[in-house]
Amino acid sequence: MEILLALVTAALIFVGAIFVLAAALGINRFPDLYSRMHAASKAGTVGSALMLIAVGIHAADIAILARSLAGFFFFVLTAPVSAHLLAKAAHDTGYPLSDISVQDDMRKDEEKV
Amino acid sequence: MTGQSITQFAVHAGLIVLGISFLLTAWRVIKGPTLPDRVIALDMLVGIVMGFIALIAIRTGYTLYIDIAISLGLVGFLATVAFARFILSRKLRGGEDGSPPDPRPQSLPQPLPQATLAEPAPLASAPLGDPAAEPAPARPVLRKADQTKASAAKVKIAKAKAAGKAAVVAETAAAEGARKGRKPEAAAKPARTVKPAATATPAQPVQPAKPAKAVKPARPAKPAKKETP
Repeated sequence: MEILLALVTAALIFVGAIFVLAAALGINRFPDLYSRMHAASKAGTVGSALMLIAVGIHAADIAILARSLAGFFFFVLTAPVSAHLLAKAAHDTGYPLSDISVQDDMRKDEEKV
Repeated sequence: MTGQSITQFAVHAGLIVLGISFLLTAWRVIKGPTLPDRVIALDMLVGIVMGFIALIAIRTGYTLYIDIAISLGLVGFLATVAFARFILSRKLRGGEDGSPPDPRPQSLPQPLPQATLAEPAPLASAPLGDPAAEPAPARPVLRKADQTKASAAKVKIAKAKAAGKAAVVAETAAAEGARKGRKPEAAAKPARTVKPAATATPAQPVQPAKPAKAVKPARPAKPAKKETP
């Protein structure tokens, strides 16, 4: 039982670390603010959230698991909100998309075509 | 004890990977060409530090660290929201990115003339144009009327409305306000209505239409009506 808990915890830690590493690579490799946000706010959030769950499972206590789940849901729910606010603010301010971008549905003036 | 060793190994490997990704994200914070890039990288730094805290909680056994991680996530969320509002309120800088020359000349010159029209125009026109040009010749007429007939100001207001003299009504309202103690209100109302009359004529017919219906604001509003045409 102890080994099973340790294996689950180790798996969660590894998967979370891989997600965070992928997010860090993506935030450096993507050409655009919006695509970087795409990497950071999804992969990075999932990586940190998986590590929070790993703490709760490793402790094998229902109270600690509940707290870690609360932190998990809080982080998973607030990260998209902040990323959306930031993307909206950047797009409204006029930060451009990269040249690779195909379509911009929020474009207001047609002269950018 | 194998479970303990497995967990410790996973924690060490996770700490190394998190350190690498932390450095990569910090490089984006340093390098990021625009401000939103840095803000996104900072937001992700908060997430990585939350992962660090979780790993340290596993390693040391102090599960109280979870609360610290939650509060750090709250602070990071609020910081990102505040940065988003800041980016929204800030104009795009020139040399910050390669491509802003497209949206920048459109966005910057537009707010500027609006601001110049809105702010300094009433300030300059109110003291210069109105009291000097139009109400000044009307004042002596009203003062004479007030001095001669000091009985009822409302009757004068009605007469002045009928006469259609703009500044006369304003002055009677001011005089009545001085008697009843409303001086600041009466003095302020005609000034407001007179300001737009000199500055923006197209916006004028909209404003007097509302006060014309009401009884009290009709005093300062009617003069504005008659001044514009």
